[in-house]
Amino acid sequence: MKNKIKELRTKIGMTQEELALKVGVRRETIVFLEQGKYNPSLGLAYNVAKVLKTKIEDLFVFDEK
Amino acid sequence: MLFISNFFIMINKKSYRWIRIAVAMILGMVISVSIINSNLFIALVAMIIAWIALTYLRSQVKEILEDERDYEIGGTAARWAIQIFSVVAVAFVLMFNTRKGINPTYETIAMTLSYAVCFLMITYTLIFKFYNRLIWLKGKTWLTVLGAIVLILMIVGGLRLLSGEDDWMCQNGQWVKHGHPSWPAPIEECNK
Repeated sequence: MKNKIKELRTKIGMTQEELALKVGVRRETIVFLEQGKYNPSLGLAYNVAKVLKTKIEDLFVFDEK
Repeated sequence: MLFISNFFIMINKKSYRWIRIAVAMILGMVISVSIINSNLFIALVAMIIAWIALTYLRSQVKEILEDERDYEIGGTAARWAIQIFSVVAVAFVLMFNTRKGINPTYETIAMTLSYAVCFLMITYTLIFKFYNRLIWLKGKTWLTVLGAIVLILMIVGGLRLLSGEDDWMCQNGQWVKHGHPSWPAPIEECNK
């Protein structure tokens, strides 16, 4: 699933490690998330959106196919 | 002493993983030695100490050791491992059963493997069902307790089945049948 995590994270000058620590996951998970190789749980998606001060629907690009 | 306390406080994820590997290796060695010496008490004590030490060290690691992605991968890996083990074990059970005429020990190996596969599948199913109904079970403590008792009884029953009720026992310098062992008496001397 495509997302804007990297874009929004770099915009506020946050590192992957810092984001990982704030949402309670490993840095590797953030790497996979940013690359669109991992679909997060609803809880994690919500927490990431909250840290990046946005909404889930604005953060993730849902492919309806 | 100060070094030790600093070491424990400053432990990080990488150090913890190395310590875990080292502990597993040491534990393996201790268990081997205790089996050779027929003293399972040493193995039991070593396992308890290792478990306490690792639990303590884990609590000292401030970094996140695993998250939801690890659990997801872990679940998939566990399912694959169970399926592969079951298929391979069943193949070996069939192979050993067809060759039990060559060596009677093969039948024992086949039986042990069969019980191991059954026990693994039953345990997996029970744990799966338990977690599947965890929300439903909330507030129904008696059902959880009942489930735990059934699981314990199954483990005890399984261990009893595998504990060699049918065996040859050394009594007064002679091998005496205990139960109905399907294999001949041991060839080594009986000196008790």
